[in-house]
Amino acid sequence: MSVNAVLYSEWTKIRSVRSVAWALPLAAALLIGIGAGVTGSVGAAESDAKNFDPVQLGYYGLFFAHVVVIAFAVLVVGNEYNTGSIRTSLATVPRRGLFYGAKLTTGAALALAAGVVASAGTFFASQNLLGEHGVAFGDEGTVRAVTAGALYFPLMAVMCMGITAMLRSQMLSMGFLVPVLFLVSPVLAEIPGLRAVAWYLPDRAGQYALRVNLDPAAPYSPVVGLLILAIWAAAAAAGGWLVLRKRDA
Amino acid sequence: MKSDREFTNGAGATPAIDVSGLVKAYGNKTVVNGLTFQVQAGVVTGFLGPNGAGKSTTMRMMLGLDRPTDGRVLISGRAYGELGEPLRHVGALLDAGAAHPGRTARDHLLCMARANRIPASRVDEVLEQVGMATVAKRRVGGFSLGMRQRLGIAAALLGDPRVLILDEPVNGLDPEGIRWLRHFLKDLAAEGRAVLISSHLMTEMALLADRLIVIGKGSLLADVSMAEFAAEHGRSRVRVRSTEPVRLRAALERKKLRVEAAADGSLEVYGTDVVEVGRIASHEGTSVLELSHVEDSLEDAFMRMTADSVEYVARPLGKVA
Repeated sequence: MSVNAVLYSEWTKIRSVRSVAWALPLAAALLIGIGAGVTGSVGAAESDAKNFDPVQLGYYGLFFAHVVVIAFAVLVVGNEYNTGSIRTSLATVPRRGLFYGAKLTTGAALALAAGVVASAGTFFASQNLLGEHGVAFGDEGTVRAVTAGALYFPLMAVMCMGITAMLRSQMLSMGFLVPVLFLVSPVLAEIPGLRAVAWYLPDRAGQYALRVNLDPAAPYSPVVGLLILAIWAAAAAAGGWLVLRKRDA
Repeated sequence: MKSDREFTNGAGATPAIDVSGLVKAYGNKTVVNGLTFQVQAGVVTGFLGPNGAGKSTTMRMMLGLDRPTDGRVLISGRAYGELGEPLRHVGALLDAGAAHPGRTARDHLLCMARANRIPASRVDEVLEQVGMATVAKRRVGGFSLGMRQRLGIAAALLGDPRVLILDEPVNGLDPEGIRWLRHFLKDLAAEGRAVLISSHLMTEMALLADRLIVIGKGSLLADVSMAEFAAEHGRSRVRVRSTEPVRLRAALERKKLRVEAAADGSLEVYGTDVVEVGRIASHEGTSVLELSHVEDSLEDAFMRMTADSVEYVARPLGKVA
């Protein structure tokens, strides 16, 4: 079987369902738009705060944008299970590793494309709006932050695609991911005893890589933060494969 | 055993579908229990059994979707997973609802076609073939069950396959659609393709299938031609109603005929014909109110055959002939 043909098929699947096709452009628009809105309105006032991080403020919309990225990932995999088309798909591509690999690759590549546009757009728009309070691309940590911003989308997408492949249901996956990322992660960060654990959650770790004004309490460097997210993504992808590999469709 | 079979099938041709010793167990429940049969090219083979007999599970194993607990299925001599671009060899209809409701009919087929390098022009061709060209750009979510069924059949035809595996294709089709499908499948078989279609309705099969594979509780009950099945299982008898049934019955039994009394007081006589029963009655001098030849429908024969395999039934429907 041709790998390109299967990738083309997976791209066609994403392109041909409206909600899935529009998710990533929406995520990019949210990130850029909210970042521009926040820096444009309260940027100058915020710049007096003692922990002010102009780059982090620019990525303020990430909290909302990543929900859309998660929804995209859950739909890409979960649609197969919810509609029963997983059987058609596996009858069409019986090599399950090829099917799964192509699906993850396509989803991740599109998320990366959206991430590059969103991250670069957000950085330049927000720093431009911050004016004298902003930083320039090339200043310390900015190249790494913008790169991490671009990689955050595909890594999050791969993690969520893997989890959905494990749970084999859109409802279960959204019901698991949204509370974990919206409630557990913020709440843990506020509980003194558990704050140390919260640093290792995928969203926290990944987002730390977007900062230039580093937190002295952080147990790792920004690059390691991104690696922690990558490890979560790899583990979820592997888990999804273990389920798909042996289960009856 | 194997060479025997190949010989009777003529020319030692590889069967289109070769199921041997197939077993599927979920925990301690065995759904498919040692099935062995072959499906040949050029005919429509009906795969018949009551609900829950294991038909769909068997078909899923044919397509490599479910892994057999034991045994194997070969398609044109190869395992499904080794067919390369499988749509070019096997077309399947498993579940008519299995398409994303937000996708258009054409895009649904295009997703499948692209993975097997089937040109987009072929998508339009099969949509035309199943009479859905005008709704190609409409979303599947708005389709009736009959339209989804047609779309599923279009999907099965995409790769112009030599083998078609269709699970309950008639479900949801209107009478016109059923007629269309019947002719369509017969034409496909006449072109030399193997067509396997499952159903739980004998009446449907009687009009469509050349061969029958009947299963019950996961085991093979019959693997015969439609004509053989009809000859073997259609029980024929003579029904006679008389003013003096007791005397007539005694007379018939003196002629060594098996007689059963029916609920309405008439007699059913086996192994004879109306002429002989009429002669005996007139010789006996009893007046005959009704005399007719009765043949069980194939549906009755199927019901009798699978009676022991039906999980929920109030009482036995009769003894297996």
